[in-house]
Amino acid sequence: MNKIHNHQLTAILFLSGAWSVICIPSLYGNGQISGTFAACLIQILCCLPMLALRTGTFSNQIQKHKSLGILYILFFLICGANGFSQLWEAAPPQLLPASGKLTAAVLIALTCFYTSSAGLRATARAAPIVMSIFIISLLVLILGAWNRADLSRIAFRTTDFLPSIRTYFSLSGELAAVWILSDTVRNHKNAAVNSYLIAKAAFCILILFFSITSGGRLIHLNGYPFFTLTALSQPLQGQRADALYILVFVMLHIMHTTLQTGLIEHIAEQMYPIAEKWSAPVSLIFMLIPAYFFKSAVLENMIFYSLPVLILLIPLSLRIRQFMQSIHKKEFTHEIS
Amino acid sequence: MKFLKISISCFFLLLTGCSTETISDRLYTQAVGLSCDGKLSFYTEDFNQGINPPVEGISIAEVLRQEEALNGGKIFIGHTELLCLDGTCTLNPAEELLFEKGLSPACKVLYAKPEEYFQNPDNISVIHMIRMSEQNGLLCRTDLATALSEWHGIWKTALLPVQKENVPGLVLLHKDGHCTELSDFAGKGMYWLRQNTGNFTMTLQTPEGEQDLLIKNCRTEKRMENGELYYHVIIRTGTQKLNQTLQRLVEKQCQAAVHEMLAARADVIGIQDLLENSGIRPEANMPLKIQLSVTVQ
Repeated sequence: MNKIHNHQLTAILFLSGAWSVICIPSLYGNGQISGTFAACLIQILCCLPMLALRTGTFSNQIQKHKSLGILYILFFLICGANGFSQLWEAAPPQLLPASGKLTAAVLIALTCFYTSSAGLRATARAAPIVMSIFIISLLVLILGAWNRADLSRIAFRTTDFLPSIRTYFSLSGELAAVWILSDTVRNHKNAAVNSYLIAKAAFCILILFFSITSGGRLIHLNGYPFFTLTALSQPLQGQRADALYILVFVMLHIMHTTLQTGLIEHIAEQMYPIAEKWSAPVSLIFMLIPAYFFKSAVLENMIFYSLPVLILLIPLSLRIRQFMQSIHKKEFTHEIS
Repeated sequence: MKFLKISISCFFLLLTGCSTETISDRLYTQAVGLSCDGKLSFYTEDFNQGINPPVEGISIAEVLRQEEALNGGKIFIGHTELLCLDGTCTLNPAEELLFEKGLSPACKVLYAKPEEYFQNPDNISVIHMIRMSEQNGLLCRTDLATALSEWHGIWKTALLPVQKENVPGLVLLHKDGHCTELSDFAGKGMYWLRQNTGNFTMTLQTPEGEQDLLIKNCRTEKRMENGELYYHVIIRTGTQKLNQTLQRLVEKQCQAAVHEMLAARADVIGIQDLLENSGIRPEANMPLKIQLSVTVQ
């Protein structure tokens, strides 16, 4: 894979994360604002070992230990499957591009197959364009929601603090992509990853803020606050903003799935060069099958329990090994001299 | 593989969405009426054909299906500006229309009997009358989303506009169907307690005669102290004269509004949110003490 720019890395990770945020259920408590903020800080700390690893460590390791590569492929398959499962569970009918959730998922999977065929670099290049459309839609959402905002509903609370940290982590599957993608960034990779983490937390807090202030008690009726907000936020009197939300909704899902497919393709290609051609369609099929049979809560649990191993334990153990090797190397050079 | 990619690209050309439906296949409603006396009755007036015959059914899905069959078009209620409800109908069908059928949250909800209203509706003038009354400080802002949010509160009462002889009035519609009409004086008080806008001219009666005063802005600060609820209305006029007269008038109007609202066991000024944010679990029968103050700057 060719190198990508740091802002492209931020955009692609953020868009994948934003998909998860819009599909978070039960996000409307005052205590969740502080929980999300705390989760963001923990995630910044968790990313430190991945960012401290030498460039190319991941490629070297998966070529040496194929089981490691398979572990990551399985994880990205679960993340992709969770995306489709969220699409089936969360999406209101008016935000789907086709009638019937299965039809919509198959059409999106076909699009993802097409977009992932150009490789991760092409996806990364498209990410800032999608990001700009997303920001415009977000501004429209804010404009509509601000008219209804009642700031007196905001209060400092600690209830739901720990559950919200857990929810935030279980919907942060793209964190595992940080290690793989940061290898391909030319420079300022730490700044790019931190920007993504802060932007995602800010987006989540923004949705929480408007869910509480603008949604009021209506947010409790529908399990998914973002979709309630899109129903409530119609800032233009003579024109509905649904088309913009449909566009963003579909594009976020495509970016999320394309990232997972692209990563699987990238890992498979490095492990078995022959797998390059067929890894994308096969992975999309293997995302759709578990998504059909498992609820997103089950897949989110899988992500939550495997995430610490993939983003913290493995990179940390490798970093310690690299550190020990460098000490031995220094001692050896010192002895020779 | 290349063939597969080209095939997929060609397939997407067929998905423009323009091939199957024309604008005449759709029925764009301007006003919708709901009545639930035994069965759910659904009234519509659309932009093309005018008033449509009412249909009856047991659910929203069924009445929409019947309406589509009767009028020969796929119904789209996203541009509906007025929803007409009476005491027989709870807001549950309206909730379904909002979240599942794309009814606008800013849609005005009028308290009226749909069977009477839809005999000779004048939607445009009713909608404009409500909007202009809201802009000119004669009526507090109400819409579908606000009404639904209020109805889901512990006191289960929504504030809705009602047609009167001159300007629209206000009613408190309880979830069980009974409604309490607010006096004109209390209705004006509701404007100050709920509104956070302004920019209109009002006329005050003074010993020197009638005088006009520009209201630039108004907002309400709510807080809870020592178990009492405090509502502080701040009005900005940009002038010093007549401020005391306005303050006395607004105080009286707000007191009337709170008195009539509490007498009807209702909450349409955010009492529940204030109690919950102060860590108090609100109950329907709990005694409430509200302190009102007005500052005119």
